[in-house]
Amino acid sequence: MGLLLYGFKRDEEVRGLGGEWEKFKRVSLLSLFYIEIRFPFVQRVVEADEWGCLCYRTSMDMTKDKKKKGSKFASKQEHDVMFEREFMPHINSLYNFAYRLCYDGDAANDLVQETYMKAYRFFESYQQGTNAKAWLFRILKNSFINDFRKKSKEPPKVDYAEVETYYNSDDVNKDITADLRVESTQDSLGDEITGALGSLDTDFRTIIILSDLEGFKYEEMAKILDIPIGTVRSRLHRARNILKEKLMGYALKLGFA
Amino acid sequence: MERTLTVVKGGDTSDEHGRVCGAARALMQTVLDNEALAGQADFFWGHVMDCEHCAKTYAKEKAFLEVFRTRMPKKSCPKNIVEGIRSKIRIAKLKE
Ligand SMILES: [Zn+2]
Repeated sequence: MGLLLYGFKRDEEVRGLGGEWEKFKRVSLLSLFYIEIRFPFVQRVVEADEWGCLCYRTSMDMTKDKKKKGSKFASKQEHDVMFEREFMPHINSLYNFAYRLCYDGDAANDLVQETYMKAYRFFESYQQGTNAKAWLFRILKNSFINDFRKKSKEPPKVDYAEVETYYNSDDVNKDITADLRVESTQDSLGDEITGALGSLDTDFRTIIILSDLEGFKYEEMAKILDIPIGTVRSRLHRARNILKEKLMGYALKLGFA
Repeated sequence: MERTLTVVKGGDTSDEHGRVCGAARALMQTVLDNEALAGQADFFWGHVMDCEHCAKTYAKEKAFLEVFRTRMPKKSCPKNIVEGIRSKIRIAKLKE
């Protein structure tokens, strides 16, 4: 089936639909031809979807095409056991990342499940023993950008007035005030950090989570986010400075700075 | 990279010192993240040993990062997610 190449620009994203969406990122004109030669049954259905991606439809499942090659696993059982061993230990980190991106438990749940299903489908292409966590984070980040960003909610904001009203209230038992103050301040510090993080733009929030919560190295973050290491460094620097400003105000209010 | 800071000199406001301070500050984040190359780390620590201002700035930055890294609450993954994934995988295998 011949296809027209109208409306195509370099570096646009291209999607194919083969039972499920399949994405070809940053295609050059050459790779567009490659897609159309390799999958001659595809048909462009819309010029650009809501993400600015060109879309193709096919009645064939393009993912099955890849499965014709020999598997690196001796059996399906080995495939599944290796999948569990490599990927399942990272599920808590994945969920935490998903939640901090979506600020919605159900969306985070869906995003994590979708990430694992994609990882399962493409497990053959994963190099075992490399960096499973970074691979999963990359899939999750892409899924969030492509499918979940619109559905995500605004992050919760901390009500400073409520915290201060509590501490100024006469109802607070004087004998336990000191203990409560330490305990509640620790809790509210966590809330405050959560609020400050949530108020950052997604790019800044993402880099802070990857670096400071998950401990990824610059090089790993560059791969997860598809950006140069220099951009990782500068983005992290800016994100931390914004966070510092936000949290400094809080520290001053409670007399800690 | 843990070091004990001993500030032996501070308050040098010469242009040369300012230039070296600037270079050290530019490396501070990389050092904090343990991403500095050996030569960069040697230069940074060599300067911080002698510069009170940079030593204080480093200590503040480190304290901020430690508070942030240790106090940020983590969301724990609901137990049903793992079962949800396994069941989706079972369904996917049946469809193959
Ligand atoms: Zn200095």
